[in-house]
Amino acid sequence: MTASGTFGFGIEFMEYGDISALGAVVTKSITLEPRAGNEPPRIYETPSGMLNSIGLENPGLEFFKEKILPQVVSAGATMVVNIAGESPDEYGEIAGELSADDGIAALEVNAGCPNVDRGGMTFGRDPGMLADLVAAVCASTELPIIAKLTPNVADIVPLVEAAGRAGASAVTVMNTLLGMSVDVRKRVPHIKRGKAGLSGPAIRPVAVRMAFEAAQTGVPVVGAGGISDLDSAMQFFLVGARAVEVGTWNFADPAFIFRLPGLISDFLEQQGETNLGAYIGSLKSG
Amino acid sequence: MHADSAKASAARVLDVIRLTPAHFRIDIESEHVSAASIPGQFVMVRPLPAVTDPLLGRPLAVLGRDTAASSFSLLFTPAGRGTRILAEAAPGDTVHVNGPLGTGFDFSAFDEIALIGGGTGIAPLYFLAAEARAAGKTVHLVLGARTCDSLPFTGSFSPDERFHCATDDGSRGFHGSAVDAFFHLVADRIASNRRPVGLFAAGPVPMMKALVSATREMGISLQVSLEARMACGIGVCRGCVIPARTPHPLYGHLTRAVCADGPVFDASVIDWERLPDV
Repeated sequence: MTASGTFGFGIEFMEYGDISALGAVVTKSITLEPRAGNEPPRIYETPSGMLNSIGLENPGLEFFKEKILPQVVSAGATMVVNIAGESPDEYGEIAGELSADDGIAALEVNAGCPNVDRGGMTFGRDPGMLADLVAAVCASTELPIIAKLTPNVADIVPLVEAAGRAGASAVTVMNTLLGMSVDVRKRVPHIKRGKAGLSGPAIRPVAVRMAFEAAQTGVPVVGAGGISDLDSAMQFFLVGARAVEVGTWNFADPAFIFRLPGLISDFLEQQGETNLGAYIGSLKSG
Repeated sequence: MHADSAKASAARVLDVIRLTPAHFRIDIESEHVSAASIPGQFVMVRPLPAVTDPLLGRPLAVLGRDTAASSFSLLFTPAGRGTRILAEAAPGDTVHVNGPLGTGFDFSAFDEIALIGGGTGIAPLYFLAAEARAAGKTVHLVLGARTCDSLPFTGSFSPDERFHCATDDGSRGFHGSAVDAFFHLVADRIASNRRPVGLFAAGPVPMMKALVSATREMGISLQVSLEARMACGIGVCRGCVIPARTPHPLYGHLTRAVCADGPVFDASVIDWERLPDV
């Protein structure tokens, strides 16, 4: 799967591979109204990672449904639409406008954007608020719901459990880690808003640890955070993730994600496994 | 099955040449980039075998191409880790290339064009000059620098009345900015020729702002090439978005992504007052 915000709407990558061959294309977050996003600078590269504060720039639900979605669906992609809002009602309203009839396979609920003033990460830090959010979305649609969780919490387990109990079919672990970088000569932050979301291989061990903890709950986990090669993808499967999302590495190599399914098949064959299911969660104690 | 796409793939370094103390040229073998590039477009390039630090490709404008050799060239100034690694590459090394990307200059409507540039962003102007000359256009090139010797390739342009160097110290060429040099040495002449004329610029934002303001009343077409910090180069990360005066044709916002909507823009599209200088 593709990580939200790193793959556009999928159509931008059609020159690099067959998007219908991916597990799923997860869109950039869609909000009810169009959003222009934050003031630049919005991105800054850090050691093996990058900070971003885009601010959910997107063309809004109506435009997405009318102009973009049909293009992606006609390309044969399995579509997961990532949605974001400022209140559970707003998330529910968006979810109510998206259905299997539109060619959508599932919704991913962004409960962890660190770069907006309202909504975003606040939902993902409190189990009660997260449960209300997931329940509101589930009540508005028949589609399966994946809750994308923020790692900016002391313990992810209560949040995973709350999302599962509220009706989420799976959780994505994890969104970006809140970070900051500053220019010591100009004495200003490298990102206009100051704090920003850190992604890329730098956060991978944190993501693997959190995916491991989340998988212990029994709620299906989509692992995400710093996947940049076969081994890093397999780490998430080994600790129990049922699927993985490739994110920031799509920027470095837009063709990598299209090679990954083949690399995984070859790897499983070398490991003597007949299917991925047998490998998932097969971690032995050190 | 595991092959790269034509647009994003490993490519062989043919040569790395230090042109001036500050400028390097890297020649890379790529049939696709060589055949498909138009002046103004860029590639994202990063070292191979893949490393995670530096993580992202570096956006570099195509300097020129040799279609017979299936190769293209980039011009860069080692500024950070990514470009320093490129400067240390050797023939036979491989790099990862994604491109060509973005929009290019369109000089088809003009008989005569003037190119104005300065700083590290001048690479696309050399490519534009070469292609436009090959298409039979009259090309004026005005480049600004601290000293004329710090410009690459000055020797490859025949020292005629159509190539002008402007220097801060006046040590050679015109004493002043590239924009001033354009107005003093080129503008009147091309205006009196009464042929369709286009201006093309690449360089620091303050230079572009000066040019935009000085040419606004002339009613002359101006296309500019912008530089920006980028992560993806293909319009998806939304990291390189700049303010625009007109709604985006697809999304309706008053913004443009430098990578995918540009890097070449008609100057009238950009909201210069809100565009940061750095």
